[in-house]
Amino acid sequence: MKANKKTLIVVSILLFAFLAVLNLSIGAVKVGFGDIFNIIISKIGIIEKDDNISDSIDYIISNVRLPRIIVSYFVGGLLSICGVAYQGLLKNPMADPYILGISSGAAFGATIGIVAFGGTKLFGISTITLFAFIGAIAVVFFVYNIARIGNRVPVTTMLLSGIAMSQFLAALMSVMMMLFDESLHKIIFWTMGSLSGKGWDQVATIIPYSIVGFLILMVLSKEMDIMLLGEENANNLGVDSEKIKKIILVITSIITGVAVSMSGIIGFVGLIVPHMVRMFTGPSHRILLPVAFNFGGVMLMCCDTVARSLISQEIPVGIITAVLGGPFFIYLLNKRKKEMF
Amino acid sequence: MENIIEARDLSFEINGKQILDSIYMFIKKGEFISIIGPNGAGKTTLVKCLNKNLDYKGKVFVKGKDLHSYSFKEKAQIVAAVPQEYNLPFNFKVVDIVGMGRNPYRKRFAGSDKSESTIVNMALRQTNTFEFKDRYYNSLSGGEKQRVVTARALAQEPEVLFLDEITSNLDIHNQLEVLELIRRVNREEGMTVVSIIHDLNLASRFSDRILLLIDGKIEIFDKPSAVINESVLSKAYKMEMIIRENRILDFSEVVPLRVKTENEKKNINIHVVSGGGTGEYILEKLYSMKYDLTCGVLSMGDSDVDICNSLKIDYVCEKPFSQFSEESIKRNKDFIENADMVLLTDVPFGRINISNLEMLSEIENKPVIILANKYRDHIDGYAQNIIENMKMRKNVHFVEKYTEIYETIKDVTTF
Repeated sequence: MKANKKTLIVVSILLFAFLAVLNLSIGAVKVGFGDIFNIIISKIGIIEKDDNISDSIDYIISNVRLPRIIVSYFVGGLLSICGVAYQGLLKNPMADPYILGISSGAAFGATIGIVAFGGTKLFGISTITLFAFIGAIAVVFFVYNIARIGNRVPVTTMLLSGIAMSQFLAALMSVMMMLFDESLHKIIFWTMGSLSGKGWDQVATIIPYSIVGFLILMVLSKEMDIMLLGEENANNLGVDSEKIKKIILVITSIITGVAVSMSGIIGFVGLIVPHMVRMFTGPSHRILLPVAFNFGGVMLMCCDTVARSLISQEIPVGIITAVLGGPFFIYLLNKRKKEMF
Repeated sequence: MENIIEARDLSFEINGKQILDSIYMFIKKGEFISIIGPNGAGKTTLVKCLNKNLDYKGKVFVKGKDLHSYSFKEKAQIVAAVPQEYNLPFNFKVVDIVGMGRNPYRKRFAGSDKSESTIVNMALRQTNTFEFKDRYYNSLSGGEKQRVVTARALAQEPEVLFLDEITSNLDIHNQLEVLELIRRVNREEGMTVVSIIHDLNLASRFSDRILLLIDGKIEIFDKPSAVINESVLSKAYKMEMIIRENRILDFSEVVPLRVKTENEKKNINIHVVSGGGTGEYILEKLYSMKYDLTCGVLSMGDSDVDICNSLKIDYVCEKPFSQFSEESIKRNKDFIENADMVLLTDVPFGRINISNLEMLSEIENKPVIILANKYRDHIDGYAQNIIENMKMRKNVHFVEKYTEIYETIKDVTTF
């Protein structure tokens, strides 16, 4: 069993490395594997850069594609573990990171950023990103307080207020899109999600959030397992479920907010990756969380490569995740549903 | 013995409705307590308050310490709850679920120690769930699931076990199996058990004390023999019932009869001559039809005596296997004198109770209804002879079946 686990980890890492390099090589300009290795290793400073590699190729690999696939990996991973956390917390298989209205809040914020500031920079951050993040966090804050009864936040009222809030903001957004139709294209493109133009700044932002968020959820993994039995049962088994619920809500809201404000609304990953992974690992969060992070990350990384290289124009990556993920999920569901549900 | 749980002025209110109203009570270590009461009396709320699931008013003490001062983990090391079996949104294996019972003892950054799996395995074995420990919980039957959640609570190694109607969804076999398991840990390991239960007979049979809750107040909290009686139970349940001793298992048993209806009293006296249990069914039915009844002469130990006692019917009673005394015969004749009619069940006659038949044969001024029975004579035709002679009389009515008795009584009274 232990030997199996080790080989599995080694195989995953090798596969991951291969896919990462493959994704680096694919694009409008094809770059060979050898050149990619040369560029990356020379950056670390171990060897000299091969003179045959042009500066533009070097630039494409190290300043365009590499940060982009790193961001895509972490965005995919974050959305997946947030999906895992929400599905467990709300005990609802339909839950995804956007279910409490984070996506609508972010989209509404981004719309304001686009309409009012045209996406200019404020304090060195794009106003779209900034307002999207503020919108995402503000919505969760409202939803939580609307749903709160005394000290408790019942799951049902939270879901309902999340849905109500989403619908309300979506309507406001439609109004703004009507009033400012010169920004229409930009807003729609943002809401479909895209990772284009992500550089090292974004990498530096997302990695700390990912590590901290992931570790906190891992520490709570046993409590999250027990909370699947229902909150009262969890209390009786020694879990302070209200406290855990609050911690998880805060953590997931922040990291979802970071992911969404950076990449727009990439759907499907946070809903489907948790289910796909659960089919193989079972519902125990200690295994589910790391595997979902990696699987979701790799999946979004590959989808993003398809999105930027399939046709000459870039396709929003949310479309690719849905088009590829949907049928694959249906296939899995059909095969495994009997033992799962 | 110390009080393991104590409530002082415990109240709970929701939306202005008082669910629990100033409860004072204590539970001693090692007791088996049942909580009974009609739906909506606050039984589940009471247990949830004692288990820190709800924000109550007043004080609850567990092992002498205020319940609020316990963390959830500390509390879960002392108190465990067995809920009614339920489904899970995601599918865990049985062994994982039972393993969650060890959560109160886990330290956050330490791996699971070896004693953990020993205790989990023991809980699995105790509940007969060991053989399917690797199966998925949701694929189990209701009875199996109930045993798994019971195992989870036992894995907590608690000192107090709360049970919330765990027998409600189980068949008779599984009800007994789960309750016997609980009683075993109660008796052998001294685990205190507090069980909400709807089945009064199971409560009566298994508990040391029974708490009857009505409208959020404790009506009585005492030994089963003090609680399981008609005057107490009729306050909680608006039904007619019989309480009798179950001599095989040695507990007071409730036989629910019917929902109480406000039938008008008929003001008709019927004296019933029965014996050997032949009157049980007839007496009960006539009682429910609101006739005034007397009965006699009966022998002590006869089940007809039990039914008279539980329905509070006056009767004349004689020592078993002995001739009726002058005194008894005189009292019985007084009953007959006061009756509007007399009913003879299909009781057989022998040398001891033949006086009953002789008294009947003397009645001329009021109707006598006789339930026929070909095989009732055990004194060489003497009894049969008396009955044959009575057939001639106008005031005597013979009926062939139980069901005809009530029609005949009606006919006779309207006449």
